[in-house]
Amino acid sequence: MIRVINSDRNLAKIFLIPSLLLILIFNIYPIFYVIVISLQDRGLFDQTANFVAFKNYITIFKDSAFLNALKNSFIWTFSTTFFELVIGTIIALLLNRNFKGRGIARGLVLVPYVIPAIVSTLIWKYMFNDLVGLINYVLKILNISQNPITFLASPKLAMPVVILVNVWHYFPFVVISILAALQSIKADLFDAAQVDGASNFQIFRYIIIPTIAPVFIMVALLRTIFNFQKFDIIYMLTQGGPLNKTTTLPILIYNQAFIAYDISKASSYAIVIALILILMSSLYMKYFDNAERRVEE
Amino acid sequence: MKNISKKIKNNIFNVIIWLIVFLVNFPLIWMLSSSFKQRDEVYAYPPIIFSKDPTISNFIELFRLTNFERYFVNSIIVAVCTTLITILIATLAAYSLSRFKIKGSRIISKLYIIIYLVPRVVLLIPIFLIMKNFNLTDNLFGVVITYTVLAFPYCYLMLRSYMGSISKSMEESAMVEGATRFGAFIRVVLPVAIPGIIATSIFAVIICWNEFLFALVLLTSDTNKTLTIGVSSLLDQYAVRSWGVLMAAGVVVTIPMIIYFIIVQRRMVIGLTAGAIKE
Repeated sequence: MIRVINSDRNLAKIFLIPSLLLILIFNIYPIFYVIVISLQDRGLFDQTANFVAFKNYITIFKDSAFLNALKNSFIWTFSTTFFELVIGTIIALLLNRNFKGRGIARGLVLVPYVIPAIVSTLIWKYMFNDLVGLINYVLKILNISQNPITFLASPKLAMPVVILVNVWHYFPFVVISILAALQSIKADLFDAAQVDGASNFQIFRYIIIPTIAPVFIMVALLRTIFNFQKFDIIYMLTQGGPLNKTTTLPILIYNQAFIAYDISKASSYAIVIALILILMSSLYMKYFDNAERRVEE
Repeated sequence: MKNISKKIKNNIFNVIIWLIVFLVNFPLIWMLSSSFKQRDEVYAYPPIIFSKDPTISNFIELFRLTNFERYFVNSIIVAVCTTLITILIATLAAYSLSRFKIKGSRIISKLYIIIYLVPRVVLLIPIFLIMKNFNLTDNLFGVVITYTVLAFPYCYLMLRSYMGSISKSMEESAMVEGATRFGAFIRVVLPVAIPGIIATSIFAVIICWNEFLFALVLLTSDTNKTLTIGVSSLLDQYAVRSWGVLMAAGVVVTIPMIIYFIIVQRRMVIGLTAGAIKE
């Protein structure tokens, strides 16, 4: 036994066995499994199923539920990512200046990102409540709306509210990343620029923007990929309602598979999501490779 | 004159930045203060910011009248088991792939990076069916396996880069002095890797504490629910009855995360200063 472990090659193999088993059974096999299911006509509790080839895929583009979810997914992904980036970058730039209590301020701004998503949902559901919510009270004393607004039940307002909650929860991720990039600028670079008589605008244009641009693009891609798959915050706030106005693709998949029990159709949706994400991820990888090559040159 | 305008500018800047900090944290302050309010204060109009007569009755009601305690214990079990298993599997894999070149280790390396990008919704349906086949739906062990699958790619990537940064000279000199490779791994590499392992465990714990979708699909009976889906079902029942109780739930769910961060942060600093072995 000891001799087996002594041999490096065997040790290397033994150490890999648990992770390989995990990945093969719960990652690789499921990927093939979901493709097979998408080519069948199968219910959640069926033991057998008919092979229907690409029928589920052919009907997708006439499927109004799918098209609605696709539209919502794009609205959701691009608006949340956009606001996270804008707000996160502005706050990072503000926090990069010197002022008393900077460390505390930086720590406190990150808090929403640390708390669990279910807690964010709880708080905002309370604040947006029509009867006891603080936001309706503020709107009333500001004379914007006399009657309480049922935000999450309103087809027009539900999506903006869900976006707001997600932006609040995730903008600190942008702050951390941009701040890290800003910290890499050496202080003497600013001093030198000031000695040379550079204006604030010039410092911003020629020192700050070039430093944060690569990080900004990377974060933008990452946040787009994450937001596109987001399920929990939307589902906990609205469950995709009202009138499917906040049903994004992940929520549609859940509903199709576990409420309507149609796992074949749900699987074909999942494959489409995966294809869109592969496209986004390959952009990310390509950008990463290019950036690395530029550093090497 | 110029100094005065600069001072005013700085003051305006300070006001803006602290206003932002306040606004960002206001929802949390509101949750905390509401959790200590009397029942009638929660529904008071106009709203009261701080209770005149703070009470812990919301917390008592939360633990007495709901299954919250059960959800909490379940979440801790799942988080602890998943983190231990994932860290064990990922540490072994990271050590093996960062030290040895065997047949297929290149492909496996690539594979472990690619699975990082597999979206969860793609795994949702097949993993549910696999768990159903093994009779592991509505079972915490099934959830632990699933979360191990979700957490492994993150933990592996972090540990891989950490292992790569540990110098080989230490374990080589240990082996020259007669230690086996396995002995060198246990006694030399692991102690040095502790800060990296702790930092990685944060990720695993956060994934477990936050995960919602798979728990929603896998767990059905109330006594098996974890915090995320348990509290979300309380939200459906309690939103009409008592927001105070729900805010108390929010506070209790947040506390372990904060404690964990404080402990882990301190240990990480100790680990970094104690082990001056990194090159």
